[in-house]
Amino acid sequence: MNRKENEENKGKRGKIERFVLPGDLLGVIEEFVPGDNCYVEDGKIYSNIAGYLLVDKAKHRANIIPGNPRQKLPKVGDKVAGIITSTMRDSATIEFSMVNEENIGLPFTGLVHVSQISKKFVEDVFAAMRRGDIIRARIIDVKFLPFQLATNEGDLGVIRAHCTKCGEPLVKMERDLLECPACGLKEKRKLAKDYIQPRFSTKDKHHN
Amino acid sequence: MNNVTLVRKEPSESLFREDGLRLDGRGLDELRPIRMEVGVLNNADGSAYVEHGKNKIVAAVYGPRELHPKHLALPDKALVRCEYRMATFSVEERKSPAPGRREVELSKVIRESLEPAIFVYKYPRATIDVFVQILQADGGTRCASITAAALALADAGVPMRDLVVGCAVGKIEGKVAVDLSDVEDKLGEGDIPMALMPTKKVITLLQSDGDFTPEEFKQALEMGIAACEKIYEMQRDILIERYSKVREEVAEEQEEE
Repeated sequence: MNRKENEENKGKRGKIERFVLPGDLLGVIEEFVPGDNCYVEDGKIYSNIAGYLLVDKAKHRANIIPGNPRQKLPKVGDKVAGIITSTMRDSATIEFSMVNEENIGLPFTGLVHVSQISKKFVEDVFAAMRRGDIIRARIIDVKFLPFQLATNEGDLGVIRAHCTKCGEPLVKMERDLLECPACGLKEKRKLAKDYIQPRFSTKDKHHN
Repeated sequence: MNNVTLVRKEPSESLFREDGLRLDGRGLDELRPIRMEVGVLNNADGSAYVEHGKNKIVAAVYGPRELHPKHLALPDKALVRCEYRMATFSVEERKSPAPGRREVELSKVIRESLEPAIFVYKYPRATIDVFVQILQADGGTRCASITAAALALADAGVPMRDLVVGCAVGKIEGKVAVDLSDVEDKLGEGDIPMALMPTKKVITLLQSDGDFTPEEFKQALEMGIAACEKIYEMQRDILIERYSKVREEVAEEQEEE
């Protein structure tokens, strides 16, 4: 168990009872509530995975902590960062492989619905994010692939964007407004608080 | 040229030694020596290496992860994909590296014996990829592959109802014997590969080739289940050993910090 996992399991109190394997009998449903990585069959609770059984006596709850710390499946509440691969009228598709600032390898796909872009009303996805933008978002549902994402918090939204006309990195002018240093085009985005300002313009360099 | 007969050539030597044991010195209900290892590959989410007699098998599991191409995705459950491959050097005569009929079939057989144990409905539209590579083959590879793949799945943390164990039972010279080797498989009268979810006592694979009387079949089934349970104990031990080691390592790291 690494440190991150310990933080995750902080909320879960109890004593590590023993090591269990898939299919191991943990108890009956009268004893405790099946928590993480457990399943119920015929009124009996079994383990789902190989891991450590943690019984919370106060809450009468049995959780199993995965024995393999390599597991990096995104879950609800995780902050992810990725690139927008396509936009539709009502949603934007994001491909991300950064979960909680950690690279998980092969990318997952997420979807931001217009209603989840901002706390304010957004009429069209196009006025808030566009293809090629790099955004930070929070996972709100992992029941289906693509995962449902939201950017309706201050530190979530576009963190890097390029001009749709000339491809130049855009400069933040004011809240949710960007300007292209090369062609002067003004574009609207739902920006994260820490939008990354381009340090220099590639076009300027070229002209010098 | 006309005296070609369809009668199979009898083995010149018996498959039993003079002392009544099998050629490799085993009794009828004895397994070949088995060695297992878990977490042998770094890139895979879960992996296992199994030596079952002279069989040497590596299994790797990736997932649950996003499925490409996406049109294969199932709306309500995860797709389990399995790839069984034999290395060109795994048998005495070079095996063509192209996947043959046998490999495609065994991939399907292994997938279908693992699938009942996996909670596929937890991950709709995703995929769980299982890769099985035979490095050395000596009879009963499909069963050993199932044992290895189940270990790799458990190592990857894929939610499972139970582990799965594979073992073959066969008939040699009229006697039911467990875990046939390559010679016994080829010269014997029959072979029943089976896979079992040991704690649930659910059979997930049962094939049969050769002739068995109902009594023989019953006996074979009982012997197979007993053998599977023996292998299951080894699976348990190796997983417990592996994770106690992981735990110690992590504890040491934390102390250093």
